[in-house]
Amino acid sequence: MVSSLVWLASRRDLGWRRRRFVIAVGAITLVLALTLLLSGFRDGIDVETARTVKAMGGDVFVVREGVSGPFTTVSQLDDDVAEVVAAAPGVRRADPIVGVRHAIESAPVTDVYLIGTRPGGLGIPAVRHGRAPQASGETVLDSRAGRKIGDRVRLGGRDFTVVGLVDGVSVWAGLPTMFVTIADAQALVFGGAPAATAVVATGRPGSLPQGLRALDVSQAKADLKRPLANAITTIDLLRFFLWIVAAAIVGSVLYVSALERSRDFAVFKAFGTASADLVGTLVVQAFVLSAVSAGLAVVVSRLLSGLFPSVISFPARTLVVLPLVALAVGLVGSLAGARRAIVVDPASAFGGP
Amino acid sequence: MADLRVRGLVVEYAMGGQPVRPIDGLDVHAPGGALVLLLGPSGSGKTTLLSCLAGLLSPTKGEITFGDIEVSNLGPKDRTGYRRNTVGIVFQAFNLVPSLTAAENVMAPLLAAGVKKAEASTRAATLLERVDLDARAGHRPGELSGGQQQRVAIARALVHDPPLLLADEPTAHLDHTQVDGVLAILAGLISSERVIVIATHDDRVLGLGTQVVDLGHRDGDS
Repeated sequence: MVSSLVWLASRRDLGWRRRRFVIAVGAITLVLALTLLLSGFRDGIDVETARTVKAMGGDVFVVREGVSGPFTTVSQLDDDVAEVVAAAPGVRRADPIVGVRHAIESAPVTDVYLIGTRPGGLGIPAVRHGRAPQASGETVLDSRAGRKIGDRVRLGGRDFTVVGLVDGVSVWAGLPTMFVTIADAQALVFGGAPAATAVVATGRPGSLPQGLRALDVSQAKADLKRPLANAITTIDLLRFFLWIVAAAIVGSVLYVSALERSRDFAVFKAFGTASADLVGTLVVQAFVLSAVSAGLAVVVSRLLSGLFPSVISFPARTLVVLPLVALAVGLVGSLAGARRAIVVDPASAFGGP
Repeated sequence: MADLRVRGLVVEYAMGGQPVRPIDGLDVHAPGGALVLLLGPSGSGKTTLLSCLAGLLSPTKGEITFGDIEVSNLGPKDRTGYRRNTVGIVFQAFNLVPSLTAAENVMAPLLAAGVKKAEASTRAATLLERVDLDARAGHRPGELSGGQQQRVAIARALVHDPPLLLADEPTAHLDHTQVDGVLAILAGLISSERVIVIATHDDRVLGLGTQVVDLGHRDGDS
């Protein structure tokens, strides 16, 4: 059982070296906030991908055989394939879409993911502000494009009027979507040919004509997310290294503290304090440092998340995992100081100042 | 009433590749009520002997017994218990923990031994009153004079009423007015239930001793 000396000595030492601990808390808070933001960015990719795919309203996405998915490869299908798919057993409705990366040329130049859909068909999310495009030259933009209803934008040499806005329908870490009629998309991408890049369908097709392949929602999400695979790996590595940085800060602060307290530790040992209690004082301090920093990091990361153009998601599990990981980091960080406390020779309490 | 016995004590260690024997064949017998003064120049082994008596250092040869405790044969855990319950130590440089108040410094050994905080606090208050520092109980060491710090250190050493009190140069860092106060306290601690061992260079302490161990003489005995 931990003696009350552990709590007393830990608390008093935290107060005694409060400036150093405040600086350490500040540094650890920033590191953890950055870790949280990276985690939020990482989770945001999943959230964004799921939201966008769901917003298109399909249960399956039909593409040409050999094509990796509906979002990442431009492979031409005749748009009447949609009728073939719609006629397949288990399918309730099917509509062609044209999806391709493009850019609004009118200032400010804005990269978008262009999706052409049939008016009233699948592939376009519910429009909360304004209405869906019904005629040529009309578009619905994701609010991240920074346009408002009534604005005119130019894309691929054609002018469009913004008739509606959607929120949170973006791809690839914040790239806004732009919805136009499929005829306009065909004109932009296929020179007006009646073609599509995929068919969005509701229901589950029992079988499809040869040369076609159906991807379910999870496969579609994987396809949409795949271009970010390297970025996600990089983020995961950065998060890992940031945890190490946090542990290093905790460790260096506590190790320096343990060095400075060597004489105190020797004195404590000389009057019969167990080494475990001395280690306990450092562990308590590590936990306090980590827990306070983790709490502040949650607040700071929330405040900073609004500055980022991409989706930053903070799932509830993060709030559970962060303190636990932070405490583990604190524990690891305290090891060097703890070792120092254990090896202090109590006989060194004798001697001059 | 516990006697302190040291028989054939040898402490040897290597320094610069050469063996050094600060203590070589020392015998001491101090009955309860004794105040033993350890004299000798720097390097003569006074602090080494105190470390051995405190159970902080294992002798190379010989034995130390205090009452029925064979100090030199104690294992690490029993040594911790011995220091916690039997020995009180007053250090040369006071060695108070700077982040703790005077009262908390006195309480610390009791808290380490698992005594409840309220009980430890009461005991600390009693001892600080005994060394005339009850008014400074809430002050940190940095807010106390050298003499006051040494009196707090003495109170800390006495907090569990140890039958063996060891003091290493207790007047070394005090001016003459502070020395008088500390000596008066030490004199008041002499009791048949206790053995006090003081390592000192200070002639003013000599009057307190009931016996002297001069470690300056290599064949020295009590």
